[in-house]
Amino acid sequence: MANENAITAATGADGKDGELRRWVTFQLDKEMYGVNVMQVREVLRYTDIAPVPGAPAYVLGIINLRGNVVTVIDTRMRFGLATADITDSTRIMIIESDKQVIGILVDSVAEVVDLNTADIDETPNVGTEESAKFICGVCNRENELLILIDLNKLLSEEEWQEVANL
Amino acid sequence: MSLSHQDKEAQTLLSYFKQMLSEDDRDIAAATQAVTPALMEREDKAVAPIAEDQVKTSDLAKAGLHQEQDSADNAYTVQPQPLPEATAAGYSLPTKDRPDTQSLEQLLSSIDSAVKTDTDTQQLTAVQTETQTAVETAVNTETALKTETAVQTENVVQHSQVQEQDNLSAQQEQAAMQPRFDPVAWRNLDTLEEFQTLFFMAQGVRFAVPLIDLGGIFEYDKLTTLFGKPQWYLGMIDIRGYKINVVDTLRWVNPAAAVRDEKYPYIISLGQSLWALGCDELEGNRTIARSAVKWRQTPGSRPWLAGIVKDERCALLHVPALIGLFNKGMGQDEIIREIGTKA
Repeated sequence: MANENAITAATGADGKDGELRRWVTFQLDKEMYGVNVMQVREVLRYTDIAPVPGAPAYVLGIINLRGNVVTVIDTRMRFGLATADITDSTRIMIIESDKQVIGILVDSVAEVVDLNTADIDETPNVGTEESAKFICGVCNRENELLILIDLNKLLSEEEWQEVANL
Repeated sequence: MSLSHQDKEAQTLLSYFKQMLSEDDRDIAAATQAVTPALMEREDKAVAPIAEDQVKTSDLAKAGLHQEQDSADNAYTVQPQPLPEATAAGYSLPTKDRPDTQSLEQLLSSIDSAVKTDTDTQQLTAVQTETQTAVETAVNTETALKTETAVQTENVVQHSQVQEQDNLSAQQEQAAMQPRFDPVAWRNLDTLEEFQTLFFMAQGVRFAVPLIDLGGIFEYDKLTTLFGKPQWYLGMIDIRGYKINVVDTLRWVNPAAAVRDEKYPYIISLGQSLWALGCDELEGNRTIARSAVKWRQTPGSRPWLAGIVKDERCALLHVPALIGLFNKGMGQDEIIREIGTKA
Protein backbone atom coordinates (compact mmCIF):
# COMPACT_ATOMS: atom_id res chain seq x y z
CA MET A 1 0.00 0.00 0.00
CA ALA A 2 2.90 2.29 0.75
CA ASN A 3 4.13 2.02 -2.83
CA GLU A 4 0.76 3.02 -4.14
CA ASN A 5 0.82 6.05 -1.94
CA ALA A 6 4.11 7.33 -3.19
CA ILE A 7 4.21 11.09 -3.35
CA THR A 8 5.32 12.32 -6.71
CA ALA A 9 6.15 15.73 -8.07
CA ALA A 10 3.50 17.26 -10.25
CA THR A 11 2.42 20.49 -11.78
CA GLY A 12 -0.76 22.07 -10.56
CA ALA A 13 -3.60 23.44 -12.62
CA ASP A 14 -2.17 26.94 -12.36
CA GLY A 15 1.28 25.82 -13.46
CA LYS A 16 2.78 25.74 -9.98
CA ASP A 17 4.93 22.81 -9.01
CA GLY A 18 3.82 20.70 -6.12
CA GLU A 19 3.54 17.19 -4.83
CA LEU A 20 0.90 14.73 -5.79
CA ARG A 21 -0.82 13.34 -2.75
CA ARG A 22 -3.58 10.82 -2.44
CA TRP A 23 -6.69 11.42 -0.46
CA VAL A 24 -9.61 9.23 0.49
CA THR A 25 -12.83 11.14 -0.01
CA PHE A 26 -15.95 10.68 2.02
CA GLN A 27 -19.24 12.41 2.34
CA LEU A 28 -20.67 14.02 5.41
CA ASP A 29 -23.91 15.93 5.25
CA LYS A 30 -23.82 17.51 1.77
CA GLU A 31 -20.11 18.08 1.52
CA MET A 32 -17.21 15.99 0.36
CA TYR A 33 -14.18 15.66 2.57
CA GLY A 34 -10.76 14.19 2.08
CA VAL A 35 -8.27 12.58 4.42
CA ASN A 36 -4.71 11.55 3.72
CA VAL A 37 -4.75 8.03 2.34
CA MET A 38 -1.64 7.21 4.33
CA GLN A 39 -3.66 7.54 7.50
CA VAL A 40 -6.51 5.31 6.41
CA ARG A 41 -6.10 1.70 7.48
CA GLU A 42 -9.36 0.32 6.25
CA VAL A 43 -13.00 1.11 5.64
CA LEU A 44 -15.70 -0.93 7.36
CA ARG A 45 -19.37 -1.24 6.83
CA TYR A 46 -21.38 0.01 9.71
CA THR A 47 -21.42 -2.38 12.58
CA ASP A 48 -22.90 -2.13 16.00
CA ILE A 49 -21.06 0.33 18.15
CA ALA A 50 -21.07 -0.41 21.81
CA PRO A 51 -21.57 2.78 23.81
CA VAL A 52 -19.17 3.47 26.63
CA PRO A 53 -20.72 4.91 29.78
CA GLY A 54 -19.11 8.15 30.86
CA ALA A 55 -17.36 8.65 27.55
CA PRO A 56 -17.15 12.12 26.01
CA ALA A 57 -20.04 13.21 23.84
CA TYR A 58 -18.01 12.98 20.65
CA VAL A 59 -17.33 9.26 21.30
CA LEU A 60 -19.99 7.00 19.83
CA GLY A 61 -18.54 3.90 21.41
CA ILE A 62 -16.18 1.06 20.68
CA ILE A 63 -16.05 -1.75 18.15
CA ASN A 64 -14.17 -5.01 18.08
CA LEU A 65 -11.86 -5.06 15.13
CA ARG A 66 -10.33 -8.51 14.89
CA GLY A 67 -9.80 -8.66 18.59
CA ASN A 68 -8.74 -5.06 18.98
CA VAL A 69 -10.90 -2.43 20.59
CA VAL A 70 -11.27 0.66 18.47
CA THR A 71 -12.97 3.85 19.62
CA VAL A 72 -15.39 5.35 17.11
CA ILE A 73 -15.78 9.10 16.94
CA ASP A 74 -19.02 10.86 16.03
CA THR A 75 -17.67 12.88 13.16
CA ARG A 76 -20.82 14.87 12.62
CA MET A 77 -20.80 16.03 16.18
CA ARG A 78 -17.12 16.74 16.00
CA PHE A 79 -17.63 18.90 12.94
CA GLY A 80 -20.62 20.65 14.43
CA LEU A 81 -23.05 19.13 11.97
CA ALA A 82 -26.54 17.90 12.61
CA THR A 83 -27.01 14.23 13.38
CA ALA A 84 -28.21 11.88 10.67
CA ASP A 85 -29.63 8.39 10.48
CA ILE A 86 -27.51 5.39 9.72
CA THR A 87 -27.91 4.25 6.10
CA ASP A 88 -26.50 1.50 3.91
CA SER A 89 -23.83 3.90 2.81
CA THR A 90 -22.65 4.66 6.31
CA ARG A 91 -19.08 3.58 6.88
CA ILE A 92 -16.54 3.46 9.66
CA MET A 93 -13.15 4.59 8.51
CA ILE A 94 -10.34 3.17 10.59
CA ILE A 95 -7.67 5.80 10.69
CA GLU A 96 -4.24 5.96 12.19
CA SER A 97 -3.17 9.29 13.56
CA ASP A 98 0.07 10.24 15.24
CA LYS A 99 -1.38 9.16 18.54
CA GLN A 100 -3.45 6.03 18.02
CA VAL A 101 -5.97 4.14 15.89
CA ILE A 102 -9.56 5.31 15.96
CA GLY A 103 -12.66 4.97 13.84
CA ILE A 104 -14.68 7.83 12.37
CA LEU A 105 -18.26 7.48 11.29
CA VAL A 106 -19.03 8.98 7.88
CA ASP A 107 -22.06 9.06 5.62
CA SER A 108 -20.25 7.31 2.78
CA VAL A 109 -16.82 6.73 1.36
CA ALA A 110 -16.35 7.76 -2.24
CA GLU A 111 -12.95 7.21 -3.81
CA VAL A 112 -9.21 7.78 -3.71
CA VAL A 113 -8.09 10.89 -5.57
CA ASP A 114 -4.75 12.40 -6.44
CA LEU A 115 -4.42 16.05 -5.60
CA ASN A 116 -1.57 18.39 -6.29
CA THR A 117 -0.52 20.31 -3.21
CA ALA A 118 -0.21 23.41 -5.39
CA ASP A 119 -3.93 23.23 -6.07
CA ILE A 120 -4.85 23.18 -2.42
CA ASP A 121 -5.95 26.53 -1.00
CA GLU A 122 -6.24 27.64 2.56
CA THR A 123 -9.52 28.53 4.13
CA PRO A 124 -10.07 31.96 5.69
CA ASN A 125 -9.20 32.38 9.31
CA VAL A 126 -12.71 33.17 10.34
CA GLY A 127 -14.39 32.29 13.58
CA THR A 128 -13.12 30.94 16.81
CA GLU A 129 -14.55 27.44 16.64
CA GLU A 130 -12.08 24.72 17.47
CA SER A 131 -13.41 22.60 14.65
CA ALA A 132 -12.19 25.16 12.12
CA LYS A 133 -8.69 23.89 12.85
CA PHE A 134 -9.53 20.48 11.44
CA ILE A 135 -9.65 21.87 7.92
CA CYS A 136 -6.24 21.97 6.33
CA GLY A 137 -7.39 23.24 2.94
CA VAL A 138 -9.81 23.07 0.08
CA CYS A 139 -9.30 21.87 -3.45
CA ASN A 140 -11.45 22.03 -6.53
CA ARG A 141 -12.28 18.55 -7.79
CA GLU A 142 -14.62 18.16 -10.76
CA ASN A 143 -16.31 21.51 -10.11
CA GLU A 144 -16.79 20.63 -6.50
CA LEU A 145 -14.78 21.80 -3.56
CA LEU A 146 -13.19 19.06 -1.54
CA ILE A 147 -12.60 19.93 2.11
CA LEU A 148 -9.36 18.39 3.31
CA ILE A 149 -9.16 17.28 6.93
CA ASP A 150 -6.08 17.09 9.11
CA LEU A 151 -6.82 13.99 11.16
CA ASN A 152 -4.06 14.70 13.63
CA LYS A 153 -5.95 17.79 14.74
CA LEU A 154 -9.26 16.01 15.00
CA LEU A 155 -8.72 15.71 18.73
CA SER A 156 -6.68 17.75 21.12
CA GLU A 157 -3.88 16.26 23.19
CA GLU A 158 -6.17 15.84 26.16
CA GLU A 159 -8.86 14.30 24.02
CA TRP A 160 -6.45 11.81 22.48
CA GLN A 161 -5.40 10.88 25.98
CA GLU A 162 -9.01 10.62 27.03
CA VAL A 163 -9.82 8.31 24.14
CA ALA A 164 -6.78 6.18 24.87
CA ASN A 165 -7.93 5.70 28.44
CA LEU A 166 -11.42 4.54 27.58
CA MET B 1 91.18 40.95 22.09
CA SER B 2 89.22 38.92 19.67
CA LEU B 3 87.79 40.51 16.56
CA SER B 4 84.15 40.58 16.06
CA HIS B 5 82.53 39.21 12.97
CA GLN B 6 81.96 42.68 11.59
CA ASP B 7 85.58 43.62 12.17
CA LYS B 8 86.72 40.55 10.31
CA GLU B 9 84.43 41.35 7.49
CA ALA B 10 85.68 44.93 7.36
CA GLN B 11 89.26 43.76 7.30
CA THR B 12 88.55 41.34 4.52
CA LEU B 13 86.91 44.04 2.49
CA LEU B 14 89.78 46.40 3.21
CA SER B 15 92.40 43.90 2.09
CA TYR B 16 90.39 43.16 -1.01
CA PHE B 17 90.19 46.77 -2.05
CA LYS B 18 93.84 47.33 -1.26
CA GLN B 19 94.75 44.42 -3.46
CA MET B 20 92.70 45.88 -6.22
CA LEU B 21 94.32 49.28 -5.83
CA SER B 22 97.78 47.77 -5.97
CA GLU B 23 97.22 46.34 -9.37
CA ASP B 24 99.45 47.85 -12.06
CA ASP B 25 97.96 50.43 -14.30
CA ARG B 26 99.61 48.55 -17.12
CA ASP B 27 97.13 45.86 -16.76
CA ILE B 28 94.44 48.39 -17.13
CA ALA B 29 96.12 49.96 -20.17
CA ALA B 30 96.67 46.54 -21.71
CA ALA B 31 93.15 45.77 -21.13
CA THR B 32 92.17 49.04 -22.78
CA GLN B 33 94.42 48.34 -25.78
CA ALA B 34 93.08 44.88 -26.04
CA VAL B 35 89.66 46.29 -26.34
CA THR B 36 90.49 49.17 -28.78
CA PRO B 37 91.50 47.07 -31.85
CA ALA B 38 88.44 45.14 -31.47
CA LEU B 39 86.50 48.34 -31.45
CA MET B 40 88.36 49.63 -34.53
CA GLU B 41 87.79 46.41 -36.37
CA ARG B 42 84.15 46.68 -35.63
CA GLU B 43 84.18 50.31 -36.83
CA ASP B 44 86.00 49.43 -40.07
CA LYS B 45 83.54 46.81 -40.88
CA ALA B 46 80.79 49.23 -40.28
CA VAL B 47 82.24 51.88 -42.58
CA ALA B 48 83.40 49.55 -45.37
CA PRO B 49 80.16 49.46 -47.33
CA ILE B 50 80.22 53.26 -47.52
CA ALA B 51 83.73 53.24 -49.09
CA GLU B 52 82.77 50.64 -51.60
CA ASP B 53 79.96 52.79 -52.78
CA GLN B 54 82.50 55.62 -53.27
CA VAL B 55 80.78 58.01 -51.10
CA LYS B 56 81.84 61.55 -51.84
CA THR B 57 84.00 63.38 -49.37
CA SER B 58 81.58 66.15 -48.99
CA ASP B 59 78.99 63.67 -48.18
CA LEU B 60 81.34 62.07 -45.79
CA ALA B 61 82.24 65.39 -44.32
CA LYS B 62 78.62 66.08 -43.92
CA ALA B 63 78.37 62.79 -42.32
CA GLY B 64 81.21 63.83 -39.97
CA LEU B 65 83.89 61.62 -41.45
CA HIS B 66 87.35 62.81 -42.65
CA GLN B 67 89.30 61.58 -45.64
CA GLU B 68 92.87 60.44 -44.93
CA GLN B 69 95.29 62.56 -47.03
CA ASP B 70 98.35 60.37 -47.20
CA SER B 71 96.83 57.03 -47.48
CA ALA B 72 95.33 57.07 -50.94
CA ASP B 73 96.17 53.45 -51.50
CA ASN B 74 94.30 52.49 -48.43
CA ALA B 75 91.08 50.87 -49.43
CA TYR B 76 89.62 52.13 -46.30
CA THR B 77 90.19 55.79 -46.94
CA VAL B 78 87.87 56.85 -44.33
CA GLN B 79 89.45 56.79 -40.93
CA PRO B 80 86.88 56.62 -38.25
CA GLN B 81 87.13 59.18 -35.56
CA PRO B 82 88.09 57.86 -32.23
CA LEU B 83 85.00 56.70 -30.74
CA PRO B 84 83.64 59.13 -28.32
CA GLU B 85 83.57 58.45 -24.73
CA ALA B 86 80.29 56.91 -25.24
CA THR B 87 82.15 54.01 -26.84
CA ALA B 88 84.39 53.75 -23.88
CA ALA B 89 81.44 54.05 -21.69
CA GLY B 90 79.91 51.22 -23.59
CA TYR B 91 82.94 49.15 -22.73
CA SER B 92 83.69 50.90 -19.49
CA LEU B 93 86.24 49.20 -17.36
CA PRO B 94 85.73 48.61 -13.72
CA THR B 95 88.65 50.88 -12.79
CA LYS B 96 87.57 53.83 -14.92
CA ASP B 97 85.51 55.56 -12.34
CA ARG B 98 87.28 54.37 -9.34
CA PRO B 99 88.02 56.92 -6.72
CA ASP B 100 91.58 57.43 -5.73
CA THR B 101 93.20 55.29 -3.08
CA GLN B 102 93.11 57.85 -0.39
CA SER B 103 89.51 58.53 -0.74
CA LEU B 104 88.85 54.83 -0.80
CA GLU B 105 90.94 54.27 2.28
CA GLN B 106 89.21 57.09 3.92
CA LEU B 107 86.05 55.51 2.88
CA LEU B 108 87.22 52.17 4.16
CA SER B 109 88.37 53.65 7.40
CA SER B 110 84.90 54.57 8.24
CA ILE B 111 83.61 51.24 7.11
CA ASP B 112 82.96 50.03 10.61
CA SER B 113 80.63 52.79 11.43
CA ALA B 114 79.30 52.80 7.89
CA VAL B 115 78.69 49.08 7.93
CA LYS B 116 77.13 49.35 11.31
CA THR B 117 75.12 52.35 10.28
CA ASP B 118 74.28 50.70 7.02
CA THR B 119 73.32 47.55 8.80
CA ASP B 120 71.24 49.48 11.22
CA THR B 121 69.82 51.56 8.45
CA GLN B 122 69.27 48.49 6.35
CA GLN B 123 67.69 46.73 9.25
CA LEU B 124 65.69 49.78 10.04
CA THR B 125 64.85 50.24 6.41
CA ALA B 126 64.18 46.56 6.09
CA VAL B 127 62.07 46.66 9.16
CA GLN B 128 60.41 49.80 7.99
CA THR B 129 60.03 48.45 4.50
CA GLU B 130 58.90 45.14 5.82
CA THR B 131 56.56 46.83 8.20
CA GLN B 132 55.45 49.23 5.56
CA THR B 133 55.09 46.44 3.05
CA ALA B 134 53.40 44.29 5.59
CA VAL B 135 51.16 47.13 6.57
CA GLU B 136 50.66 48.04 2.96
CA THR B 137 50.03 44.42 2.08
CA ALA B 138 47.80 44.08 5.06
CA VAL B 139 46.04 47.25 4.08
CA ASN B 140 45.89 46.13 0.49
CA THR B 141 44.77 42.68 1.52
CA GLU B 142 42.34 44.16 3.92
CA THR B 143 41.17 46.57 1.30
CA ALA B 144 41.03 43.79 -1.25
CA LEU B 145 39.27 41.57 1.21
CA LYS B 146 36.98 44.39 2.14
CA THR B 147 36.43 45.19 -1.49
CA GLU B 148 35.93 41.55 -2.35
CA THR B 149 33.78 41.04 0.68
CA ALA B 150 31.97 44.24 -0.10
CA VAL B 151 31.48 43.12 -3.68
CA GLN B 152 30.40 39.67 -2.55
CA THR B 153 28.27 41.19 0.15
CA GLU B 154 26.92 43.62 -2.36
CA ASN B 155 26.18 40.75 -4.71
CA VAL B 156 24.65 38.76 -1.90
CA VAL B 157 22.78 41.81 -0.74
CA GLN B 158 21.70 42.53 -4.28
CA HIS B 159 20.72 38.89 -4.68
CA SER B 160 18.98 38.99 -1.35
CA GLN B 161 17.44 42.27 -2.29
CA VAL B 162 16.18 40.74 -5.51
CA GLN B 163 14.83 37.79 -3.58
CA GLU B 164 13.46 40.10 -0.94
CA GLN B 165 11.97 42.26 -3.63
CA ASP B 166 10.41 39.15 -5.15
CA ASN B 167 9.20 38.03 -1.77
CA LEU B 168 8.18 41.55 -0.94
CA SER B 169 6.32 41.98 -4.17
CA ALA B 170 4.60 38.64 -3.59
CA GLN B 171 3.82 39.69 -0.04
CA GLN B 172 2.68 43.09 -1.22
CA GLU B 173 0.54 41.43 -3.82
CA GLN B 174 -0.84 39.14 -1.17
CA ALA B 175 -1.25 42.05 1.19
CA ALA B 176 -2.99 43.99 -1.53
CA MET B 177 -5.21 40.99 -2.04
CA GLN B 178 -5.89 40.74 1.65
CA PRO B 179 -5.77 44.17 3.21
CA ARG B 180 -6.22 44.30 6.94
CA PHE B 181 -8.58 46.69 8.56
CA ASP B 182 -6.98 49.38 10.63
CA PRO B 183 -9.46 51.61 12.45
CA VAL B 184 -6.82 54.27 13.02
CA ALA B 185 -6.07 54.49 9.31
CA TRP B 186 -9.74 54.58 8.42
CA ARG B 187 -10.55 57.14 5.77
CA ASN B 188 -13.83 57.49 4.00
CA LEU B 189 -14.15 56.71 0.33
CA ASP B 190 -12.38 59.05 -2.04
CA THR B 191 -14.72 59.29 -4.97
CA LEU B 192 -15.27 61.64 -7.86
CA GLU B 193 -17.92 64.36 -7.62
CA GLU B 194 -20.20 61.93 -9.38
CA PHE B 195 -19.73 58.20 -9.23
CA GLN B 196 -21.58 55.12 -10.33
CA THR B 197 -23.16 53.03 -7.64
CA LEU B 198 -24.76 49.59 -7.69
CA PHE B 199 -27.90 49.14 -5.66
CA PHE B 200 -28.87 45.68 -4.50
CA MET B 201 -31.17 43.99 -2.06
CA ALA B 202 -30.29 41.40 0.55
CA GLN B 203 -33.19 39.93 2.49
CA GLY B 204 -35.28 43.01 1.87
CA VAL B 205 -32.61 45.51 2.87
CA ARG B 206 -31.17 47.81 0.22
CA PHE B 207 -27.45 48.40 -0.03
CA ALA B 208 -25.34 50.55 -2.31
CA VAL B 209 -21.77 50.00 -3.32
CA PRO B 210 -19.54 52.08 -5.64
CA LEU B 211 -19.03 50.27 -8.92
CA ILE B 212 -15.33 50.99 -8.86
CA ASP B 213 -14.99 48.78 -5.79
CA LEU B 214 -16.75 45.80 -7.29
CA GLY B 215 -14.98 42.72 -8.56
CA GLY B 216 -17.92 41.13 -10.28
CA ILE B 217 -21.41 39.72 -9.95
CA PHE B 218 -21.84 35.97 -10.24
CA GLU B 219 -24.56 33.39 -10.21
CA TYR B 220 -23.70 30.05 -8.69
CA ASP B 221 -25.14 26.59 -8.22
CA LYS B 222 -23.58 25.20 -5.10
CA LEU B 223 -21.85 26.71 -2.16
CA THR B 224 -19.49 24.57 -0.13
CA THR B 225 -20.14 25.09 3.54
CA LEU B 226 -17.25 24.82 5.93
CA PHE B 227 -17.85 23.72 9.48
CA GLY B 228 -16.53 25.69 12.39
CA LYS B 229 -17.24 29.05 10.79
CA PRO B 230 -19.49 31.82 12.08
CA GLN B 231 -23.07 31.96 10.92
CA TRP B 232 -22.49 34.94 8.68
CA TYR B 233 -19.97 32.89 6.72
CA LEU B 234 -22.02 31.06 4.12
CA GLY B 235 -19.27 29.09 2.49
CA MET B 236 -16.83 28.93 -0.34
CA ILE B 237 -17.21 28.79 -4.07
CA ASP B 238 -14.71 28.26 -6.85
CA ILE B 239 -14.89 30.97 -9.47
CA ARG B 240 -12.32 30.68 -12.24
CA GLY B 241 -9.88 28.99 -9.91
CA TYR B 242 -10.32 31.48 -7.08
CA LYS B 243 -11.89 30.28 -3.87
CA ILE B 244 -14.36 33.02 -3.06
CA ASN B 245 -15.73 33.29 0.45
CA VAL B 246 -19.40 34.21 0.52
CA VAL B 247 -20.86 36.28 3.33
CA ASP B 248 -24.47 36.43 4.40
CA THR B 249 -24.78 40.17 3.93
CA LEU B 250 -27.66 40.91 6.22
CA ARG B 251 -26.57 38.48 8.89
CA TRP B 252 -23.15 40.03 8.96
CA VAL B 253 -24.59 43.52 9.27
CA ASN B 254 -27.21 42.41 11.76
CA PRO B 255 -26.43 39.18 13.61
CA ALA B 256 -29.96 39.15 14.95
CA ALA B 257 -31.41 38.77 11.47
CA ALA B 258 -33.34 35.64 10.70
CA VAL B 259 -31.47 32.59 9.55
CA ARG B 260 -31.79 32.27 5.82
CA ASP B 261 -32.96 28.98 4.40
CA GLU B 262 -32.48 29.70 0.73
CA LYS B 263 -29.26 30.53 -0.89
CA TYR B 264 -28.58 33.94 -2.36
CA PRO B 265 -29.04 33.82 -6.12
CA TYR B 266 -26.14 36.19 -6.72
CA ILE B 267 -22.90 37.03 -5.11
CA ILE B 268 -21.09 40.36 -5.50
CA SER B 269 -17.33 40.02 -5.17
CA LEU B 270 -15.52 42.89 -3.51
CA GLY B 271 -12.63 44.46 -5.37
CA GLN B 272 -9.72 42.10 -5.93
CA SER B 273 -10.38 40.26 -2.70
CA LEU B 274 -11.62 36.70 -2.17
CA TRP B 275 -14.76 37.92 -0.49
CA ALA B 276 -18.25 38.28 -1.85
CA LEU B 277 -21.59 39.47 -0.52
CA GLY B 278 -24.77 37.51 -0.98
CA CYS B 279 -27.40 39.33 -2.98
CA ASP B 280 -31.10 38.62 -3.58
CA GLU B 281 -31.87 41.22 -6.18
CA LEU B 282 -29.83 43.54 -8.36
CA GLU B 283 -31.50 46.92 -8.74
CA GLY B 284 -29.00 48.28 -11.22
CA ASN B 285 -26.48 51.05 -11.11
CA ARG B 286 -26.97 54.80 -11.05
CA THR B 287 -24.69 57.78 -11.02
CA ILE B 288 -24.93 59.72 -7.83
CA ALA B 289 -23.25 62.91 -6.69
CA ARG B 290 -21.08 63.08 -3.61
CA SER B 291 -23.51 65.58 -2.23
CA ALA B 292 -26.21 62.94 -2.46
CA VAL B 293 -24.48 60.99 0.27
CA LYS B 294 -24.30 61.80 3.92
CA TRP B 295 -20.70 60.83 4.54
CA ARG B 296 -19.46 59.55 7.84
CA GLN B 297 -16.48 61.29 9.40
CA THR B 298 -15.37 58.55 11.81
CA PRO B 299 -15.54 54.78 11.57
CA GLY B 300 -17.41 54.45 14.82
CA SER B 301 -18.75 50.99 15.44
CA ARG B 302 -19.65 50.65 11.76
CA PRO B 303 -16.46 51.18 9.81
CA TRP B 304 -18.01 49.31 6.90
CA LEU B 305 -20.52 52.13 6.43
CA ALA B 306 -19.26 54.93 4.23
CA GLY B 307 -22.46 56.89 4.48
CA ILE B 308 -26.14 57.01 3.70
CA VAL B 309 -27.47 57.65 0.22
CA LYS B 310 -30.02 60.33 1.04
CA ASP B 311 -32.59 59.77 -1.69
CA GLU B 312 -32.47 56.00 -1.54
CA ARG B 313 -32.11 55.92 2.23
CA CYS B 314 -29.75 53.01 2.02
CA ALA B 315 -26.29 52.21 3.32
CA LEU B 316 -23.34 52.96 1.08
CA LEU B 317 -20.77 50.27 1.81
CA HIS B 318 -17.14 51.08 2.50
CA VAL B 319 -15.64 48.19 0.53
CA PRO B 320 -11.96 48.50 1.60
CA ALA B 321 -12.98 48.52 5.27
CA LEU B 322 -15.35 45.64 4.63
CA ILE B 323 -12.58 43.56 3.06
CA GLY B 324 -10.26 44.40 5.92
CA LEU B 325 -12.82 43.31 8.46
CA PHE B 326 -13.51 40.08 6.61
CA ASN B 327 -9.83 39.31 6.39
CA LYS B 328 -9.61 39.70 10.14
CA GLY B 329 -12.57 37.38 10.49
CA MET B 330 -14.54 40.07 12.26
CA GLY B 331 -18.28 40.08 12.50
CA GLN B 332 -20.38 42.70 14.28
CA ASP B 333 -19.70 41.17 17.68
CA GLU B 334 -15.97 41.32 17.15
CA ILE B 335 -16.21 44.86 15.76
CA ILE B 336 -18.12 46.09 18.77
CA ARG B 337 -15.78 44.26 21.07
CA GLU B 338 -12.64 45.58 19.43
CA ILE B 339 -13.55 48.87 17.82
CA GLY B 340 -16.93 49.87 19.09
CA THR B 341 -15.77 50.62 22.56
CA LYS B 342 -13.00 52.83 21.27
CA ALA B 343 -15.21 54.81 18.95
